[in-house]
Amino acid sequence: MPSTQIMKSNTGILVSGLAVGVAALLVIAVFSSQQSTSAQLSTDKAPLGDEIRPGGPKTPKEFLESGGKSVIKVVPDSDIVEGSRGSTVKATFTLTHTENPTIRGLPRVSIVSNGVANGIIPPSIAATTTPQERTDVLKETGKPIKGAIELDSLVTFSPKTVVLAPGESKKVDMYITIPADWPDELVGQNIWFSVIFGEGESYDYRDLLIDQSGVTLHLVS
Amino acid sequence: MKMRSIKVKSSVAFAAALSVLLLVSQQNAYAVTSPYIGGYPNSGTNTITPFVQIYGYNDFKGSTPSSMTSDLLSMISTSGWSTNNNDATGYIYQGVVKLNNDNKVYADAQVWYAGSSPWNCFQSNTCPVLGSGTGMDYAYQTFYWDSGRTKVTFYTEYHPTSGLPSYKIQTYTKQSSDTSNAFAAGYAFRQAYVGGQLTDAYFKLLQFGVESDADTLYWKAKQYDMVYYPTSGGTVSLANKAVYELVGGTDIFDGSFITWRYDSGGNRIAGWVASNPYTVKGDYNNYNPSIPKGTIYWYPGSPPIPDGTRLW
Repeated sequence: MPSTQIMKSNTGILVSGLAVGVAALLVIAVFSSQQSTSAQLSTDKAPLGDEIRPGGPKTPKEFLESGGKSVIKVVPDSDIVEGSRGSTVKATFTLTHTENPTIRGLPRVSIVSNGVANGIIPPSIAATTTPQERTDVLKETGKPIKGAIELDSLVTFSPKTVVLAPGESKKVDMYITIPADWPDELVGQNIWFSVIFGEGESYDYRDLLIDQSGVTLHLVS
Repeated sequence: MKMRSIKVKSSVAFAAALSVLLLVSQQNAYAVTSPYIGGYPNSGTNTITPFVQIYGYNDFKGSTPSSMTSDLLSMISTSGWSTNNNDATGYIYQGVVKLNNDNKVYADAQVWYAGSSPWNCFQSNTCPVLGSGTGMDYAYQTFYWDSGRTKVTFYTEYHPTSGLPSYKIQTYTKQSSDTSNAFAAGYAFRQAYVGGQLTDAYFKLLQFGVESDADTLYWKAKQYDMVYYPTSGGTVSLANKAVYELVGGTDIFDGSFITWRYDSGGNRIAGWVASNPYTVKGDYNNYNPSIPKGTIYWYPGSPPIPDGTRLW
C-alpha cells in the first residue's frame, strides 16, 4: 500500500473516530442540558414534588465540606470515669470551635450545657421485660418503666455557658452525683451519659454543628 | 468495501469505548447522593391500613465505620394519615438509627412536610449519641401516637455488646397544620405531580430501609421484627405480609413515593424518600430461605437486589 494511501487511511480512521466521539459527547451534553432545561421549565409550569433528603447529625468533616460555617467539637478528656455510690465524680469536656477553612466561621458561638439526654435500663429490668413491654408502660403512663433510671437529674455543669471564638477551646466540667441507693446490680457496670450541649443563642442549623458526645461512668462500688 | 467497513466499525468501537469511559469516570467522580433502598408491605393496590404505632429492630454488625466514606441511616418511614378524611396528610414520620463514620450512633427522629422538616432533632443539634457503632449489639426503635392523637413519641433503645442499655425519648407535638391522627401502611395508586408532570405513581405508605448521604462501602445493616398496630386493634407483623423491595427516587413502579399532599390549587403533589437507588445486595427469605421472613440484611455487593423484588 502506498504511503499516501496509508496516511489517508489512518487519517480517515482518526477523523471518523473523532467525529463519532465528538458526536457522542454532543449527545451526552445535549441530553444533560435537556434534563436540566426540562427541570427548569417544569419549575415554572407545575409542582415538582417533594423529595426528602437524608437528615441527621453530620460528622464535623461532612458538615464543613457541605458548607457549614462552624463546628463545636465536644471531646471528653477521658472516655471513662470511675465512681462509687454516694459520691460525686467529675467528667471534663473540651469544647473546640473549628471554623470552615474556606469560608468565615461564626464570629462567636455561645454554648449552654443542656444536661444528659438518655436513661439506662438496669440488668434486672432488661432481663425481665422486652422493649415492647417497656414501650407499653411509656405509652400508658408517659413515663419510663419503673426501675429505669433517668440520668439528667444527676448532673450539673460548670460553667453552664461558654462562648467560643473560632479556634478557641474551653473546658466544661460535668459533676455526676451518684445516688447512694443505686441497686447492687449496677456495681461493675458501664453507664453511658449522652451529654447535650445546646445553643446559647439561635443559629441557623446550616451554619453550626455541635458534635455531641458523652462519657461512660464505671460504677466501682 | 470490506476494509472500509472494518475501519468504520473500529472507529465506532473507539468512540463507544470513549463514551463509556467518560460516563464511568463521571460516575466515579461524583458519588451518588441520597441513595436509598427499602422494603414495603403490599396487600394489594389501594389497600391502606391506618395504624398508631410501629416498632422494629436493627443492627450494624459487619460494618466498619472508620472505612465508610459516608453515613448510614437505618430507618422506618411512614405517611401521616387522617382517619377523618380517609386520606394522606402529606406529613411523613421517620424513626432513624444513624451510624456515622466517626463511629457514633444517634437516635434521630424526623417529621417532614412538603420537602422540609418542621420538626427533628438534628436542626436543633439535639440528637443524642447513644453509643458506638462497633460497640452496638442492636437497637430497638418505635414511634407512636398518644391517646389524644396530638403527639408522636419516638423511643429508641440502644443495646451495647457490653454495658447497660440506654434509651432516648423524643416527642413531637403536632402543629396545627398537621391533620394526621394516624400513620398508614399499604400500597396506593394515585396521579400526582412529579417533576412538573402529572404522573401515575405507586405509593408505599410504610417503608423501612437504609439510606446514606452519599453511597459508601464497608457497612452492613440488619432490619428485623417490624410490627405495627392498626387503629382497628391488634398487631401486624411485617413477617406475615407480602413485602417488596423499593428504591430511592421517582421510578413510578419501584420508586420511594411515600405520601402525597395538596397545594392551594388542589393539585396532588407526590413526596418521596431520597433521590437515588442504593444499588446493594441483600439477604432475605426469598433469596436465602434460611433467613426468616421479616428479616433483611442490606450490604454493598453484587448481584444487587432486582428492583421490585418480593423479599418475603
